[in-house]
Amino acid sequence: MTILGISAYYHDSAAALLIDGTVVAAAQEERFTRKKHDPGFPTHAVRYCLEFAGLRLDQLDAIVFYDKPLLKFERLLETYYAFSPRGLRSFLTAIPVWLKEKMFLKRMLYEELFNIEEFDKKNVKLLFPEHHLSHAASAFYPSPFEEAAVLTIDGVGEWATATICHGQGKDFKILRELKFPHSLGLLYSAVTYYCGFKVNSGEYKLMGLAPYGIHGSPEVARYEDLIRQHLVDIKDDGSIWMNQAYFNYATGLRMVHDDKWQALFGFPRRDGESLLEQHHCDFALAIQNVTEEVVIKMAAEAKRLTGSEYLCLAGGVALNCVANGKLQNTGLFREIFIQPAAGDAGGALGAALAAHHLYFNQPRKVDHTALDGMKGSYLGPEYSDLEIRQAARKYGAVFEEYRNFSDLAEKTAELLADGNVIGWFQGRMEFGPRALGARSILGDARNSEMQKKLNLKIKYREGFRPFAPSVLAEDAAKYFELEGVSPYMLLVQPVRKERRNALPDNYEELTLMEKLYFLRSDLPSITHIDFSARIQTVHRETNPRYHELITAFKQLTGYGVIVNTSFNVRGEPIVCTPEDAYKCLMRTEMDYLVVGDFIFDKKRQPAWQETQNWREEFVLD
Amino acid sequence: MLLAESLLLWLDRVRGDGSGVVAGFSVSRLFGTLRWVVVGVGLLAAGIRSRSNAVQNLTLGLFTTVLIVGLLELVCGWLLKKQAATFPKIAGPVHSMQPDPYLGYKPRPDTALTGVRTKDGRVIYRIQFQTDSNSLRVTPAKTQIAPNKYALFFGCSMTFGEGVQSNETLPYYFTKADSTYRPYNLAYSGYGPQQMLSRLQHNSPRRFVSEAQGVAFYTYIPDHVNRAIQSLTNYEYNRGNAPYYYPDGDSLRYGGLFRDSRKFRNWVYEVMGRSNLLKFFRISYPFRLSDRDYDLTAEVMAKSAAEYRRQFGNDRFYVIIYPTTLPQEEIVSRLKAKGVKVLDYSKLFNPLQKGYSIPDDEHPTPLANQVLVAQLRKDLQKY
Repeated sequence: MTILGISAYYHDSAAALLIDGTVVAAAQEERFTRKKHDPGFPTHAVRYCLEFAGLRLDQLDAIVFYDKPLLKFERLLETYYAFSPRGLRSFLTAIPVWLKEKMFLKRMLYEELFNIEEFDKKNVKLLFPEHHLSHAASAFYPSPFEEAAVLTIDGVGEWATATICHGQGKDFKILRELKFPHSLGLLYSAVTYYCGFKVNSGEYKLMGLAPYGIHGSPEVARYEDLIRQHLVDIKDDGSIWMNQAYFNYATGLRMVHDDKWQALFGFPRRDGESLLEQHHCDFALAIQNVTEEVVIKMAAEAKRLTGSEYLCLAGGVALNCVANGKLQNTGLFREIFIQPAAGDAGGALGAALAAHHLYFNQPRKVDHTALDGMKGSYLGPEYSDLEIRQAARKYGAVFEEYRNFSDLAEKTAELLADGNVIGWFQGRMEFGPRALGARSILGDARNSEMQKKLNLKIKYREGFRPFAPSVLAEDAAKYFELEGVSPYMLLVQPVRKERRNALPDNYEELTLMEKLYFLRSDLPSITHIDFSARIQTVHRETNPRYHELITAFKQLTGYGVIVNTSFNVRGEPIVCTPEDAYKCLMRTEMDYLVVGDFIFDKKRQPAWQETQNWREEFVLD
Repeated sequence: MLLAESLLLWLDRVRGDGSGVVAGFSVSRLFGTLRWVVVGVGLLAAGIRSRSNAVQNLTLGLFTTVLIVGLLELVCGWLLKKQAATFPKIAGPVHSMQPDPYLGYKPRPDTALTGVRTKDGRVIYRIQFQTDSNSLRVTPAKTQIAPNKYALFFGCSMTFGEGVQSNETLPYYFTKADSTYRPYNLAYSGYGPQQMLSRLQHNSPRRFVSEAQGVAFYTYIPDHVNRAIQSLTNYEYNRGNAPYYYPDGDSLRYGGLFRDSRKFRNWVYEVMGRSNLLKFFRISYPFRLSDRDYDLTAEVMAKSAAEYRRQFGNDRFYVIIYPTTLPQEEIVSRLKAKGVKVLDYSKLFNPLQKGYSIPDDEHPTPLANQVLVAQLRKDLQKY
């Protein structure tokens, strides 16, 4: 049975291909079009999936779209009706688009698919599972559990904004739903917006900012109180009620009523690139605390309803790895599986899985010999030596070839240990927002200058943003207080106490930047301001090359851990092709690029002729 | 017969796949059995046709015995096969081990593993664990302060934490309760006291334990006597890959691995091990444990305690008697007589009671480990 899943028209469009219940290929459209969070139809991603499997569209059993457009439209109409006459402007903007396009999604999808290739639509079913069912299926079916509680939390799908399900074998039961406009995802996005970051992409920046807030300070407590008293009522079962008087997303073109928030919190909405101040950090910490409380309460409710020892998570909020870490620490569940593409991109995969098991009634077989069913999330395209050579030839690039991978790993480890920043491009591209050692920029985690160098000279992004470690799975407990594994970089846990440096007495009086560059551990580049780290455990079975590289680095330095950040600059999607990678090398102050079996030394490359102002090519996120 | 066998093998090579298997039957095995049958029938015929009554009686008696035993073997084999179908199955590397010259075998170092034990498609347990460069199971730690003492845990799968996650093991709960200790999980499935002694003598944890002060525990279960003496059932588990200690007058001598040092006994075990009858009725050898066996086991533990004292410079070495429904006086009295500190938890809880052992597996649950650690912490304050 061959099923293609598609998510599109909101953000992070993607396609995923399933053959007999096994995910064989998946990719986000943004990687091909080079438009971050590209919401368009995933033509390139669909093409890639078909080419990877050597299939034509009419060889598919079904094409599955990740939500139900008519239900969404119903929600839209009911919302406008309930709030009328408020939201008239938004109504007049949105309705024509719906009437012209989205209402007739089936037709639109067929048109897009026919643009890829002609096929007989009678032979291929077109299915539309619900948005949260897609999320839940993306979390449960690839999980290693026969039975589990499933929690999905995001902004909004059709009506649901969060669901609690119980998965058993191939079956699924939805037990609870939280409905629009009450949404934890939208609450977090509202604060993201108010702190001057972009909605649907800046949420992780807000999460990274939160640790700069002063824990236990009266300011943070005040913000938390205000949020609880005026914005959101949190029930014991994790359900929330949001006071719509303060929010504008239901009917307006903005997330919140700026004036009301300013009156409530005492500071105006931050402009995108303006200076971040302590109150922004404290506010970020307050909303992070509230989010964690809700997530943990929802998970506790899921535990109560299902009695399961295992939990699967998906939906945009599941990308909040700080909350995930806190949830893990509660010990509510023995193990937690988080879908690596937890956002809408993963909906494509979930839709296909839901169709396979629920619509076509196919059995589910858990492969207990694997970590899970996601194959390390290395589901995207890979490039042959010939393609790499062709890309190099195009730019007259100079490279050194290594016929033996162990030699290449040793050489790269040496370069890392010497303080170089390396672009690492190997094998199949990751599916999901995290770079997991297939399209990564790497550095030495022991190097105190690495964070500054990466942020300001390579990624050209905000200085406060932390970097994540990739650590050998077997060594993780040496460095971090991590119980279990974190293969998808979706858990934040502290650096072990004995590795930390004592803080100076006047630490709280230091400025944000002074705090940032204070050496907090023997792994300063990946130790965030609150001594936490967003950990990726690297497993030999899923990424042998990356594992071998870190092992070589360990043999050289004694440390089985390196810095891993996504292979892109700010605003750019993660690189997809060798050409993207080479461009990134030449446009930034990266030192080396390792693609497949080749090492490109920046110093030896011909002068880079930029045809356009590349910094304007990517819209800052 | 030889001609027929050669012909079939030749045909298989020329026309078939050359595997020596034709129509699902191994040609060599089939003809091997046939040869025995022919020899047996020949002897039987010769015996029956003998003029001596005694030879006739002996032949018939032997024939009847062989027939009955053979039939019983077949029946037991069939029953064992039926039983095996209902036994839990392991998917994935719950164990990944490698040979070790002093321990016999040990977990593969620097490895991250995931394994699942299932029964009838139902998951009994699913574990993920890591080993460090010294082949020790990694115990994650949520420390309040940096640890400055060591806690060594010797023992078998009960201590290693078979069936539980790394944050549900005995060492984990111990250091969770007092994070001034850094845990070293030196236990592994199938280990007995002799692995502890061999490790201390030949590849001591002193090499990698950086803390100066601390404590050591050995968790004892009744089967450890079988392991120390290498009984038939234990041989079946590890094929002699375990350190061999034997008494020599008043002293204890190290004889390498059982595999290399007791070749005749191993051969006997190999033969006995093929018997379905013995397996079905769970008959081991020796048939019952003797005083000598208990003496040897206790002596190995006492010697370990002394070795620990010599290397680590303190006498905080404790043998924990794991809760059991069996009487433990035999071992406890011997250990006490040898001056070993014993924490007798044999009656702390009933391990067969629901909640204390993993269903269909019998290893301790997280609850059992927690209860044991709570008692251990109380008792340590007394000493």
